[in-house]
Formats: sequence, C-alpha cells, structure tokens
Amino acid sequence: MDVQELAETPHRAASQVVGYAEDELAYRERERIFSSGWSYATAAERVSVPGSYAVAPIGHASVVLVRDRAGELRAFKNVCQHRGHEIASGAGPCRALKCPYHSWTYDLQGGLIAAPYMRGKLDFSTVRLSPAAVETVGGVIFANLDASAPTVDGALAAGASLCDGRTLRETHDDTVAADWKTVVERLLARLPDGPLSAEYTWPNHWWLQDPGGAVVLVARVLPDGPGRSRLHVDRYAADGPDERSFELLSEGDGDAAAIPEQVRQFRTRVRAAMGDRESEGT
Amino acid sequence: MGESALVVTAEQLVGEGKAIPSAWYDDPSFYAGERDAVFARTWQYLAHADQLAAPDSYLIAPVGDFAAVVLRGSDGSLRAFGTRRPRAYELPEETLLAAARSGGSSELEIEELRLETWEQCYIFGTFDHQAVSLAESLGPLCDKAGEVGLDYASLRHWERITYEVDANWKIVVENSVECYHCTVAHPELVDLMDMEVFEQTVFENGMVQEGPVQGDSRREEQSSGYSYPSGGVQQGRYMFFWPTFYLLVYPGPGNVSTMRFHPRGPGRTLVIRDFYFAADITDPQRAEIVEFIDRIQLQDSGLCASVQRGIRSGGLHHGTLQLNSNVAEVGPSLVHRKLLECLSQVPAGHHHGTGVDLVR
Repeated sequence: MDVQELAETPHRAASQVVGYAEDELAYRERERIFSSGWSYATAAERVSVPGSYAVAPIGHASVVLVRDRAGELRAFKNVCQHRGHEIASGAGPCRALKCPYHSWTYDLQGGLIAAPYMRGKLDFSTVRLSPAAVETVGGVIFANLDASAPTVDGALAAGASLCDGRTLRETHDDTVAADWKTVVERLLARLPDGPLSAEYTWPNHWWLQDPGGAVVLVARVLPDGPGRSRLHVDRYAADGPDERSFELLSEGDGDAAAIPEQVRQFRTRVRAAMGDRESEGT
Repeated sequence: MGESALVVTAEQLVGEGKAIPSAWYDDPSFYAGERDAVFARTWQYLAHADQLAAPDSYLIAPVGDFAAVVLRGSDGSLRAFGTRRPRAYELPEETLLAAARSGGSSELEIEELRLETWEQCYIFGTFDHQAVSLAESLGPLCDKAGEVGLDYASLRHWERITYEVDANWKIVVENSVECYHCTVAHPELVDLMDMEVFEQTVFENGMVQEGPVQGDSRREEQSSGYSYPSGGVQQGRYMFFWPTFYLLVYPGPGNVSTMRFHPRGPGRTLVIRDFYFAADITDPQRAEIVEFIDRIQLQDSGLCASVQRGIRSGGLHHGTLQLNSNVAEVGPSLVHRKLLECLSQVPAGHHHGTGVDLVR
C-alpha cells in the first residue's frame, strides 16, 4: 500500500471532528475560498528588473514573484520542496532562491540547483517549486494559488486602473484579533461612510480612493487561523508628498444594529462558497 | 494483517527519503485521529517528582491535548486520573480536580492512568493499560541517560519557559530531532558545538543526538562569547522519546533540561522547557545558559511557524528527507515511522477522522 494513496483518501466530515470546529472551518475556508481565487498581489514595479523577486501575501499563504533573467515574470507558492519552509521573504535582487531552513536552492525558473548532502542521491531535475498563476494588468500584479486558473476576472482587474500614474509608497500589515469574516463585515458596514470611495471585490478586497484621486489604497483582509486575521494595505500615491493617513478599522467598531445589504450579500456568498445551503439566518 | 503491511510501507517510505503527506500537518480531521492513535496510547511526561514531594499535593498535567491530575496521597502513593476529552487542558483546574477526586461524572469521564518513573524523578503516564512498560518502551534510552553518570534526581528546578508555536506538533518535533538546519539557522549553536563529530542514533521509540563542544581555543574566538561551565559531563547528549519528550543533558557538572511538546490544535503547539542545575553552578552561569537556549528555541519557533505557512500554501504534496550525512534527517524519519505505526494500531472503525484507512 502506498502512502500517497492514503493521503488521497477523502477526508471525513467536519461533524466527526471533536473539539476544534473553528480550525476545521478555517481549513475548509482556505480550501474553498482562498486556494483558488485571484488576488491582488503587489505593484509590478517591485519586480520590474530581471533577477528580482517580491513575496506577496495571497489569502492565507503567500507567493514568490520572480522576474527571471530573460525578463519573464513567474510566480511560485512560497514553500520549499524539502520540508515546507517558506522559500523567501521580503523583496529585492536575487540570483537564486535559497531556503533559510536547510539551504535548498532553486534557480529563477523554480528548478532545484543545490541541496546539501543530496547530490547524487536525488535527481534535482525532478524537484521544482510549485507554480502559481500570475498576470500583470497595468502596473499591478495579480496571482492565484491555483496554477491552472484561467485569466484574472474583469471585476478584480478593473481596480488596477485606479493605480495608473501612481506609485506604491508603503505597505501596512496589521494583525487583527478577529476572524477574517468579522473584519470584512465591519469594513463593509463602515467604509461607505468614510472619506474614501470604496469598491469591494469578493472575497476580501477593497479599492479605495480619496476624492481628489491622489491616494489609492488596496486593502485586503487575510485569514490567519481561527479568530485571527491581517489587514494588509498597499498605499499608492502620485508624485509629491502626501502625509494624510486613513484609518480603515478602528477600535470602537462594533456590530451595527442594522445589517447593511452588503453584509447580507457577503454572508450569502460565504455560504454558497462553503456549499452550505441553509436559508439565510440573522 | 494490515499492521505488518504498514510497517513495510513505513520502511519503504523511510528508505526513499519520502516524507509523510503534507496535509497531515494541517488537516484538522487528521489531527482529531492522532489524538486517539498517538496521545491516548503512548507514554507522556506528566511531572517531576519534586513537584509532588509533599503528601496530599497534586498538579494538573497536559497529556497531548487531554489532561490528567497527578495526586500524591497522604500515604505517599502516587496516582493520576485523566480525561480523554479533547481540549481538556482548557478546563478549569477545580473542575478537573473535583472530577479526579470523585471518579468522574457523566459530563466528564475520568480514567486512571498507568504511571512509571524514569531516573527516579521523571513521572510518566499513559491511558493505555496494555502498553509496554515505560522502561521497555524507552529501551536503550535508559542506558544512554544512565551512562552520563548524573544523579538526575539531585538536580533542582531553576526555571520554566513556555513557548506558543504557530505550527503543528509534528513540525515542532521534527525541527527538534534534526540538526541539518543547525549550520544554516543557528550560527551561534554551531559555533559552540563541533558539528564534524555530531552523532545521532535512532532506536525503536526514540533517538539520541550527541556531540562535544568546540575546544577552548575555538570557543574564545567565537562571537557569542558563550561557554558551558567546565567539569562534569563533557559532551551534550539530547535524548528524544517518542512522541513528545526530550531529556537534554548539557556539558558541565549538572545541567539538564526537560522539554515537551503539547498539541493545542492542528496548527498550534505549546513547548514547555524546564531547567535543572547542580548546586555548584552559579546564578550568572545559569542565567547565561537559559538565555542561550531560549535564543535558539525562539529561532526554532520562527522556523516552525514558517513551515506551517508554507505547507498551507498547498504547494508541497510531501517533503523529501536527507538521509546521507552525519546530520541526516533520521529523526523526522523516525517520527513518520512511529506515526504510521500508531495509526495502524487503531482498531478498524475507530479512525476518528484521520481521513486514512491504514488497516486493510
């Protein structure tokens, strides 16, 4: 009996899991919502030079965006094929991608080129970083953990035009002690009344623009395990100083008394994505 | 029937250097199955005898993600009562204590654990009354601990440090049972140890990693400025006992740590480290040792959390182990072999959602 065969046996139902229902839910959400959807990744200029890379969070995971020496943009799921450590962090120039756990090293096409004590014991040509789908629209890169995904959908890609003529100035990544759905719902309830025009894209994106159009924020809520998420915001601005700060989420935000229509729609969409056909509750 | 077939599979797996499927580090239904397959059936460290020295004393010990109450009777007898309720470690202390003393209730079933002690001070328990004895299970680890020549029970507790690691318990254990990553990820540890003569030996239920520290001249040159107290034990000996216990003997006249790993859900692990010293090690020396080990452990916690995130990307079907050097990943290989054995021993129909049917 082959172990691979064991791994491919279907998983048991969630109801059979005792004690960790929230972990089970988070796992299924990763599988059904975040493992196959397109996502904003980062600004194309961050990997414009051949021989450069940038790591971008996508849902619960991250991808490594690489501009190889021939100028082709590639994306890999951020995981070493040896024992699963993330292959890279940050951004910058690179000749190769070297894992900080055991130094397994990959070329910019994702092929294994070095691994201590493995020469002659492993056919390096069979080991490659796992690809992700990637697409550049204007000055923005989109990615999808599902390498076989067709082209990025129009509704999401349309947001890229807002970033035209602007440069990615800074990134904020804050941990929030709440489930990603709770954070999405609060933003859905709050952002329409804020100073920025807000365009929401399922499941977790906002394109926000100030009335003058000088500042564009790309905000995403990233799931980070049960009861925890990250609010990841890229700030684009035209040339020239702009010190204004925009607080998307504040401490005082509670659940609104009336549930806005957008929140209702979000909940319906989550249920549909999770394959739950119960009628809409509260 | 399935059992022997599976052991063969496990050997083949190890031989090929192919790791267990990555989903086993992430899938909550697999975790739920491990609870009974691994943690209800193996020996788990519960307490140091000094913690229960006084008559009528007790303590609550996590057992995997179950929990047990260990009681010292007024007559000096030692007993432990536990519950196999998932996340029992989260129950209030009074609830567990009351249940243990009353024999449990319909709401909280209580079972007596079997107890045995290693080196007169490390108290272990198991829910499995059919399990082989602790001494037999430890096997050559008993000799390895004895050879060092320390009177373990004479060492006194100095400090406890706990770590919450955002990673599956197997990721944390595997990180601890291999030093292939040491030259890459722990430069100051490699400064201290002589990796050229680092040795590891695998047994049925555990392994030993050992090696001398660098010579004095080398130590003076190295940047951390750290050195172990002289005298006594000459080389480090780090003993792992499947699934979650470590006895770590460091060089010096009496410098021992215990370490254990407690699963806290599919993607979280609590690491508890206790430091014990002989009387002739000074306070500044103790502080320096604890600080050094703490620094290494924090590096490991970061590595483990990254592995969990990496695996969640879905981009690794199964890992590949390096089995070709004196820092071969034979430790992770052992973990995989024992895990497969444990899963194969769960009676058919009792696979609470491991998602795998190992007995055919």
